[in-house]
Amino acid sequence: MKHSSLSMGLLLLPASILVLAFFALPMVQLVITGASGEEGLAAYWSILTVPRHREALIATLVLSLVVTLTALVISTIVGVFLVRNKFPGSNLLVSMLTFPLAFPGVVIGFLIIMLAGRQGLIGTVSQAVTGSKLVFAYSMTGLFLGYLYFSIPRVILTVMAAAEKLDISLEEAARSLGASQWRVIKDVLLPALKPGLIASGAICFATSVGAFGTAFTLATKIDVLAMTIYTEFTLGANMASAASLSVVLGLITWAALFIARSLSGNNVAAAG
Amino acid sequence: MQRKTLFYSALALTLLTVAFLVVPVIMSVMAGLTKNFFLGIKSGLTLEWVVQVWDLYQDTIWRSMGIALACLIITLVAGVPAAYALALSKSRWARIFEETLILPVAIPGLAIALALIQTYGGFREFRMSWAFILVGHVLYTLPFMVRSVLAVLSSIPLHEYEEAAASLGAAKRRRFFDIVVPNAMPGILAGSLMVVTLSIGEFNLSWMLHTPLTKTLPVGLADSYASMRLEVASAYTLVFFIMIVPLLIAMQKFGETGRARKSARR
Amino acid sequence: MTMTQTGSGSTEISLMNCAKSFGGQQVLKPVTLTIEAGETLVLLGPSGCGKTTLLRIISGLESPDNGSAVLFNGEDVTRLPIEKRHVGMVFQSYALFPNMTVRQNVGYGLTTGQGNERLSKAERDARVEDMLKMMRIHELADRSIDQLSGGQRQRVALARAIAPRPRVLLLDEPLTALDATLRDDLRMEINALLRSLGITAIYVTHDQAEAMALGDRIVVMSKGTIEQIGSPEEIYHQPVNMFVATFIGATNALSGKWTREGFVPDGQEKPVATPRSSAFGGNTLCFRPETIERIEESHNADGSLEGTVKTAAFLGSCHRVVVEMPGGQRLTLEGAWASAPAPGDVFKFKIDEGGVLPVWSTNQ
Repeated sequence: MKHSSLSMGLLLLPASILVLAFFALPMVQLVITGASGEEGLAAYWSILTVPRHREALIATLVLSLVVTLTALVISTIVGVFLVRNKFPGSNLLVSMLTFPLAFPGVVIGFLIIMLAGRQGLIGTVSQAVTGSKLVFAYSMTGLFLGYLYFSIPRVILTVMAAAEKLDISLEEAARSLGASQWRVIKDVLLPALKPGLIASGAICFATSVGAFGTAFTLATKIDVLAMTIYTEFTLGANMASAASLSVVLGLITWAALFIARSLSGNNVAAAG
Repeated sequence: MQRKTLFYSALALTLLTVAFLVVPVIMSVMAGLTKNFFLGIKSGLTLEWVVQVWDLYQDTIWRSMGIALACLIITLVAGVPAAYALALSKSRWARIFEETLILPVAIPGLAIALALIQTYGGFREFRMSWAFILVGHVLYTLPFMVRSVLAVLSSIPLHEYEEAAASLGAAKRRRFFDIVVPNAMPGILAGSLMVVTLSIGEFNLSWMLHTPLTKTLPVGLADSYASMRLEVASAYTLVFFIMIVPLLIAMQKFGETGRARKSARR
Repeated sequence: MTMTQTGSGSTEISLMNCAKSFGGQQVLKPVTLTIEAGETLVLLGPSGCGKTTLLRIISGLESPDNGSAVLFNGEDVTRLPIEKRHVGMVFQSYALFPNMTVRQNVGYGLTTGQGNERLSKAERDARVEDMLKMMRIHELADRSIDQLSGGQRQRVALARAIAPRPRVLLLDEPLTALDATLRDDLRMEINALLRSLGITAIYVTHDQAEAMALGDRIVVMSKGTIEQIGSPEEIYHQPVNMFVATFIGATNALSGKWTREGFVPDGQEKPVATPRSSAFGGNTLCFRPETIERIEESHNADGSLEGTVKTAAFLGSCHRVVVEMPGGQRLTLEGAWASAPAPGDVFKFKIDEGGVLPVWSTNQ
């Protein structure tokens, strides 16, 4: 069927207007603003030269990396387990594990407060048992748990999709050749899951780097990059600095997702 | 016995993970329904907090629903034709356009929000209205609509259907509405569910783009978390769950039937 | 069979210098051809020969290069898009709309307002009903496409294409997706249908048996050009070149030399076929497997050939043998012989005088 470039243009017109006017143009503006401060273009280096920014960057990257690795380990075990073992209630478990997928970051922050905040479950239990109240929702640990909370459902979904496609005869073949359980996992299962794990790990990483709502709700003392940007913007009213940091943040998440997509062809949201 | 140990340790980890995800939700729901959370259930159940939330925050609920609906309409009008064009064209330009369209998903909401404020913050009327938030939501959700529809359109012999319809005398417009749209319907429905769910729960953009008079539900939530007593915050969260959970269930069901249909065809 | 077809089906189609290039390469060399009203024309050739391109040009799905013209009953439709040409088309994959029932599929072309027909709802329903009955898919009317078998889909596709009473029916390898027995049944049915409708039909296929069974005339194509146009008999018995001879039916090409005495095969001294003036200098004698006469080994006949049976098969109505000639060349021969030949036997035969195909040389 022949379609003239005119009709193609018409079909793409509404989306083009939206993306050009409200994304491309503002992003260009943002990049320009980033260089409009006192330091000019050097603002883009401030993330490395200004100690407060550098610390935020390092904290963000380390946190995201640890969250990603933890989420991958847990999700791989749980995901493969649930694909391989069907028992009464296993479908319910899958539903419960994937439900939080669409919870926004603020709500997740609140849930962490419910768990480990001043009136939280862990605090109450620990007080009853040891006499001292354990409260860590507002610390790095709380942030870690929050990020883990929104990462696990996404990674589990990817792992389960990949595990369902696995050819079980490969494992049977390995076993028939005398491979131990551990060797089967190491030599057959993990290599087969690897592309999916790399992809969902990258998505998880990007999401964590860009996440804002959870940190915001926990009002944590730890500055992650998103919080630094927010503070620069609201308290410091330093638009140039906020802009340049945003651009760097955007580049990091985009790069991570770009890698993820070239590895898997999937696309998942970055905002948390 | 090695296998059995492995099974039980994996099961234990699974249950622990489920507990980690579900227990706080249950606690939050309980907190929203008990008279005094600190004293526990024994203080009695009440709808007092929910009523209070309704009085204080119902405007945010209506606004979020309105924005989600407007967002859905815009993403349908812009996204479905775009997905159709991208499904038809194999050119390099189409792929570049697709990349650009998807890009807002890869950039944190905070950065997009700052960019929007930078560029359009000066237009006061616009800046003060809920349309400003809507713009952010559209940017963020449009890729999901396009992707979802494009995935369905790429999996069917769209060209042949169109050729067949044309051979039967159908002109472009008829083909689009008689053939393309009905056959893309699973993708349109899945995309719509996704758009509404994401829009209702969107915080990062909304927080930056809102004004005191244009608070959305998640903005109100953040507000209540910071300033209200735990029971009210919980009741508010409960309202949010009540809105979002049916959408999530629909999405899960939809995903299952979609998968089932696909495997049945094979 | 209720036949309510109007004269709209009998359209004469003229192609003038129809050519098509893709990216600077001419995949269809200029074709000039007239398809008579009511005729079934088969476009036959291997994949990539340009037959589908030609069909798509006639349908309006493809626009031909400048200087080409397509005429429907003398009216120039070259620049008319397919939706305005009022053609009926059956696709290789059927392209039935999955979002519609059988009935809706068949009726779709009546709702688009093509042609000059304006039908009332009642008339449309009646027409669809007629079509469903005619194609014997009436009981499937309210099924969805997913629930149909391949053969049923084929009928729906045909009904859908015919329902708007198109000026010409275009069929693009409509039987390829079916299994062999179903294919034979449907081939006969399509044949009967086309005859009874009296509609101009153009049928694309790569299957020569299908072409022979269906075509009033066959256009044999290869590499973007027409090799031969003719009735099935002409194409079979009078192929104009080696391509047609070998593409249509089984052909043995015995190498040797056409001399003034006739054809002398390699490794033999006596001619085995009478001389033909046009064949002089040629190096091949082509004949069909069945145009031979088996000769008893003891018999001595003029112009006989002899070889060793390599494989032998009984096909029910006849025997088929592969015979190796003294020069090493292998020939496939068929016939209803009283005694079954066995591998290793000496096979003696004579080529029928009328069976010699008018193709004399391999480099034609």
